[in-house]
Amino acid sequence: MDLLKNTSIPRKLTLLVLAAVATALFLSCVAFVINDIRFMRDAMVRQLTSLANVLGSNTAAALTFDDTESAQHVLSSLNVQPSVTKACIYDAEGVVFATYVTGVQTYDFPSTPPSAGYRFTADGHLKVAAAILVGEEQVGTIYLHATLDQVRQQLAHYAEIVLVVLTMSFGTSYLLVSRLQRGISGPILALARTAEQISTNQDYSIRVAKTSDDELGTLYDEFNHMLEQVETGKRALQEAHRRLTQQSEQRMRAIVETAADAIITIGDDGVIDSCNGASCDLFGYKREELLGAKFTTLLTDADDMSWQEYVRTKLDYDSSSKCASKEIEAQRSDAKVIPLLISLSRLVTDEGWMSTAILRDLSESKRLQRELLQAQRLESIGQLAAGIAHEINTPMQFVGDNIEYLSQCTDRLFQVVDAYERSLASESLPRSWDDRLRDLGDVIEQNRFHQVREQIPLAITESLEGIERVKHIVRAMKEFSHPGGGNRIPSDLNRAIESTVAITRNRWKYVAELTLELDPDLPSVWCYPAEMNQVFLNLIVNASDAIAEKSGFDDDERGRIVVRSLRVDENIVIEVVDTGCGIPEDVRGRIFDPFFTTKEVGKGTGQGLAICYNVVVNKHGGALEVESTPGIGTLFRVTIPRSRPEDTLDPEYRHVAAEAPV
Amino acid sequence: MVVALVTAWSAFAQDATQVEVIDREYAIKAAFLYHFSTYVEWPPGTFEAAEAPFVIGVYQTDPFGTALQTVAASKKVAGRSIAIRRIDSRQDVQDCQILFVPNSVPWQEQEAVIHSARDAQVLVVGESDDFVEQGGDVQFFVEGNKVRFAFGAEVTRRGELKVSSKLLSLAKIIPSAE
Repeated sequence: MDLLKNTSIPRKLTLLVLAAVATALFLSCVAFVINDIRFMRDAMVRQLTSLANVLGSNTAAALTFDDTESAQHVLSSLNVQPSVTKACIYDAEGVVFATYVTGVQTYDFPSTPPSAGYRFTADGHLKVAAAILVGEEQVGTIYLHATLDQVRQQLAHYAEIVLVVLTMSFGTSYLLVSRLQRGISGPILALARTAEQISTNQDYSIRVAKTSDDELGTLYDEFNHMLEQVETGKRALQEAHRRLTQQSEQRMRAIVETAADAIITIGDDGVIDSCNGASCDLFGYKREELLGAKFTTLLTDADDMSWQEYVRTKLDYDSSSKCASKEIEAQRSDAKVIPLLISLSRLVTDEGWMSTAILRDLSESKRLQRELLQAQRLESIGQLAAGIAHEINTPMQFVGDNIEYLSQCTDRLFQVVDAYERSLASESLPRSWDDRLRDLGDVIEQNRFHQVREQIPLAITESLEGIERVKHIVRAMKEFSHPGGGNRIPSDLNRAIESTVAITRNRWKYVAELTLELDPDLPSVWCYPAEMNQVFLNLIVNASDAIAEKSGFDDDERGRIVVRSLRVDENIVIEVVDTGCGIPEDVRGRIFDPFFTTKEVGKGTGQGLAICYNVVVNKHGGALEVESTPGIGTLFRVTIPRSRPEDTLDPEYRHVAAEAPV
Repeated sequence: MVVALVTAWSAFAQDATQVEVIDREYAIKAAFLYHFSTYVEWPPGTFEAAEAPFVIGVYQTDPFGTALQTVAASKKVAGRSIAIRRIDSRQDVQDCQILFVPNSVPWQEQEAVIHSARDAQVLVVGESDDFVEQGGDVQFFVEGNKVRFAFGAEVTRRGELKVSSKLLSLAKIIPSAE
């Protein structure tokens, strides 16, 4: 049936009828022929049996009187029966008595007479045997062979007739059907054509003309009805669509117009195609001035590049038609340079490729960032102040004690000196030198002069050491908080590390041993020392906190912090390694996010690592990496390029780098 | 092939066959006598009683031995049993339906028997040459090792005996001398 699936309906109808006609005709012809053949066979059996009986009766006397010749003579009369090919007569004893054989046949009769009856053989013969009777007595048997050629000829003849009948019926049926089927297929084809026309032209106003009142007529009516509904529905849909489009367009325009960020669409030639109100405020131009201007003329670093070139080289545009947010600088109409965050996306419109740029003024955000950095620095200094005070207090205490002791010593010293003076000056009293010496000895003994003499230099040395320690801390504080005045200068990072370690001593000394592994040949680096100090401070404080969280202030289980500096190719690498609690895998991706912290409320602001990242990556074009195993420890690696990579610098700091002496 | 075989057989055992045919001659003739009864119709009233046997008579000398008795014992003619009688006198010929006159009977006597049976409803069968020419009904003769028989042309015209055409078609028809 699949064969018929794609043939046209007229052909299907024709084939259907022809198949039915052919089947019916063929079956009836076959039935007729089979019946006729059966009838013919029966007739032949009857004919041959009666022939055998006649011959038997005619040869009965010959058999009786043993007259073979006569029997032979009777059998020879069979030559007028061409269908009989062989005949044979057996006598009463079953011995062959007389035979008849036509031209090509051979004598192959059974040696004993077969029993009466008939039988069709496989090679197309009919064999009939009949008893020869005289009265009641069987005197012999007659046996006849006849070919079925006649039947076969008849069959061939029938086949011809069937073929002719079939062909003629088929032809006639075909002619009839191909005319008559039009009544059914015509309207269907007309409907199909109309439907095709409707779907091609999208014209639902077409109607089909009904021609009959049968099921096809109903189909036509329903089709027209359906078309009407489609037409109505389509009109309603179009209207709704139009309204919706209008609404959404208005809405879209309102959204764009009232957006806080500047939204500008730029043609593929770089010319501004549309802009919203925020754009005008941002650049300080009127809308008419912006439209039609080249976008790159608004930028400070545009040079003479084409828009496409600018997008490719400056905005890292990737093939997935998006541009990650990027900071650029633009010049306002009042010549003020403002930092902008641009994100660019591309789309295809009827007029070709377009870019949509969303611009955000970063001036305020930059200012806040600077303030935040400053605030954090002050905050950490504040947090360290108590520790630093303690660090200063300890030496000052024993310096004070020593000075007090020295003052006591001075009293005793003066008493000894006074005693000498007295013994030398009192001439009025006649005294012997021995007495005088004894008196002096008593005074010296009384003031433990020898002890004082030994202790004084020790106390002085110790005090000097204490003062040196205080001086060291104060210098470190000074260096930490105010080195270089915010300029990028060549700095000795080893020294910066040492200062930071000194001022944070009070944070780590109770929980860890801190080891410095500084490369003595570390070259100086162009950097902002105050900000690098802040980075080291944050990392060391974090390391201390991590160890404290893991083992508390247990003296038996002190952690270890290693701060290492080394030179790798053209980079300086500083590593801060701790044996603290580590950073769980699931938060590792967020540790550089601002305001992210795992410390208790009040202990951390979540700004430390965010600032580190900003300083290392954005301001110095370096890298900040972390390796951590929870429960084992953490390694932070700061990589700072030694060269002066202006291109990777935050634009805010670029001019500073350019001005700085090499 | 069969013809060749027969020829070979004849050449090989001619004497034996001759002897056998002579031995079997009267057995065949006995059978033929019986078979004649089935192809000949006697007029109604031939038999006086319903149970009366069909009588085959042998004139004077009997050359059949037991052959004729054997046939008579096993067969019937139209429901009647067969009786074999020896006929010694010409006057008794009408006592039988078939009368066999053997060759051993002197020729004059044979002619006399034929003559006396002329008006009787008896099928007179002989075996001497010219038996039919002299007025006998049927005459056996041997031809090609086979026992054949001849009918006189007159037999059907004479009297009331009806001889079947089937029987006549097997017989040699000899016209009467008179």
